[in-house]
Amino acid sequence: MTGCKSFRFAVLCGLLQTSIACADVFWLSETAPPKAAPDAMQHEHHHEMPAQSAVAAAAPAAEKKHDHDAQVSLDGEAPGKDHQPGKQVWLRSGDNIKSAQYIATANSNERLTMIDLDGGKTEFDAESVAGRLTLKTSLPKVGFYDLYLEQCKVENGKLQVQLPKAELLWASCVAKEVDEEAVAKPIINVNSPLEVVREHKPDEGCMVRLVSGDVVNFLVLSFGKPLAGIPVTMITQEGWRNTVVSDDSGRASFTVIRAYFPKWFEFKKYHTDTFIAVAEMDKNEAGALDGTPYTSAHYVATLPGKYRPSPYDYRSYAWGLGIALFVIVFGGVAIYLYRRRRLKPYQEVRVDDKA
Amino acid sequence: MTRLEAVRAAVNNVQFNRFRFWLQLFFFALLVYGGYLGVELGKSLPTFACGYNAEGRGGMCYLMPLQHQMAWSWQKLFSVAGLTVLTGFLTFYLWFIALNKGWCGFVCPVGTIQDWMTSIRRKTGIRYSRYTWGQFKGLALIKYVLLALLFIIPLGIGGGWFNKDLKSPFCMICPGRTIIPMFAGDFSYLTIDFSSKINMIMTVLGLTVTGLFFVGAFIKKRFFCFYCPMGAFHYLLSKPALLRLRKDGSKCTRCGDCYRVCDQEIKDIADDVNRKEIMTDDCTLCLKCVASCPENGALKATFAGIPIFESTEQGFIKRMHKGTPDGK
Repeated sequence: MTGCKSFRFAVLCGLLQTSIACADVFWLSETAPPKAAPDAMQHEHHHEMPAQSAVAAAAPAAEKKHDHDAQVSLDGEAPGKDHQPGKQVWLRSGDNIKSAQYIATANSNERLTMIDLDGGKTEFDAESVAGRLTLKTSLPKVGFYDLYLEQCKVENGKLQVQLPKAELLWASCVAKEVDEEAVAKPIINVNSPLEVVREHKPDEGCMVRLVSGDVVNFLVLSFGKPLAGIPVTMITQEGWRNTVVSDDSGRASFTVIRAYFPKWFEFKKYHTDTFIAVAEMDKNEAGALDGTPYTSAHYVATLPGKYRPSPYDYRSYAWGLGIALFVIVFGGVAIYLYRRRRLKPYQEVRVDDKA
Repeated sequence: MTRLEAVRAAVNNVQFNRFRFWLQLFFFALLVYGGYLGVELGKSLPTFACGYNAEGRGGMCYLMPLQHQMAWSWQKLFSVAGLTVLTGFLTFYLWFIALNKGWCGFVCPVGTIQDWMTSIRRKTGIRYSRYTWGQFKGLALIKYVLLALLFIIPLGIGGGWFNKDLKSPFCMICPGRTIIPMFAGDFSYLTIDFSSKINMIMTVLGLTVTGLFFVGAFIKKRFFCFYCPMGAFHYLLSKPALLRLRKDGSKCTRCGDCYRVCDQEIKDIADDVNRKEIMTDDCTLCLKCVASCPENGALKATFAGIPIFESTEQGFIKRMHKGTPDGK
């Protein structure tokens, strides 16, 4: 019985992985579409295998300029501008992060909702610029903000609900007024039928970044309550993917893989890789959308995130302590010998009073 | 004796080293652990309240944001955004004016650590070192070179000449960056950063300076202060400062006590009987010279022109007899 369940689970996961690779996955990206040859990126076939897409995307990427601000190549997603309050996000479609299309809204009346740490909501009208949905905003204060979009359409009698979400951050290394505990709390949208929330680390403040080797936990929630048995797929910029089913507390855990292996002189510690967490859910619910009836619904919730190389990849205590100790010992011995050489030996001078 | 005269006499007779020790300890706790108690004195402090001590700091050394701002692109630096540089500098200046170089002598955590190391050396009976006059004159220029580089390198980054990894060049070699976070349990700055050639060179340099700091501060009083660009920066801005060190040459007998106790080996404090404003660029305004002077009113510290601590024969004798039945 258990074996049968495991088999069914494995088949389910396999099917889901295939379905995610083929289905439309909408996600919110902070990377601007390339200015040069936008059509090439727009028309990139996003149904091919990730490795092939990566190769296909590599050619235009090689011609792109480097972002000197963060000193990383814009090969795929740009490193977020976390230190700036000004944010711009675009809606993209496709599970290949490097070549996902920039798309527009299906309906003109869709709105983006931003929720801040205090639970305050701000509504924005979705704006299409050159056929791409984008939102430009400025965050009011340092901290995390979650941005939500809900897009619905009926296809073949099935309601397709896309729930892309982005976690925006304005960070400051010199801001002390930030309440670190408040920042660490996840923001939850209690009105969302399906949501992926990244659990923040206990000591996570604005300046903490995910690094390869970290364990990242995602919570799958529906109207703020945890959902068990929902497959969550983590897809990285380099095409690695893994699917984990959420447990009873709605939690799905992944270890962030290391996918950055440059030569030493090309290594950048601020190199940023992107991932997307995708949760999918089918529901037997009937209804109508703008007069079009449907008999079931399919929900797809996404959450992109970024991670950097682990400090263990480039920092060495052994060398650091070795150099400091060498200087201390060498300096101490040198000073001791210098002082000893300058010591004048004691000389007794005898004066013969009778002489 | 009026009440004011009694207070003045009590201040002038104070066991100065003990008073200074506790005051330094207070400021050390405030700037290194104050953050845990919600203390936030801003980002423009004219002392080494190290910004790399992210959790514990009660304020931040101004040199860190200054270098970051200087590394802005020139377009940004010389635009309206440059006003934030000015406001930061004005805040720094207001802090500085209050205590002048007293920030070095009483507040600086790196200076306090050096004083503690001097105490340890004294207890071990190892004698301290002094520079020769030639060495003194030559090495005294290093702090100005560091100060100039502290501006030039970040400005060069803004102009696109240097790599951004150099954007806090002085912080990278400052021993405060490696040592102060250790007091808050953060040892991560004792590492060499191999992520780029520049980071590697700068962290090697930083840990070399840290090693030299430990050796130097053990045998030479206030070893690092002699090379500190913050001290040079202070001196260049010190003209309108409120706390001042004054000398009345007519009362000076040139006994040399002030020179002998000076951690910075400043000869002028004993030799110069003409200048009234006796503070030099190497002075940390620790006021040990005032405490050790046996002549009434020869040396005095004033705040906004009002004498707050001056040398007296009675105070000198009391301090010299410390621990004896006479001196208590």
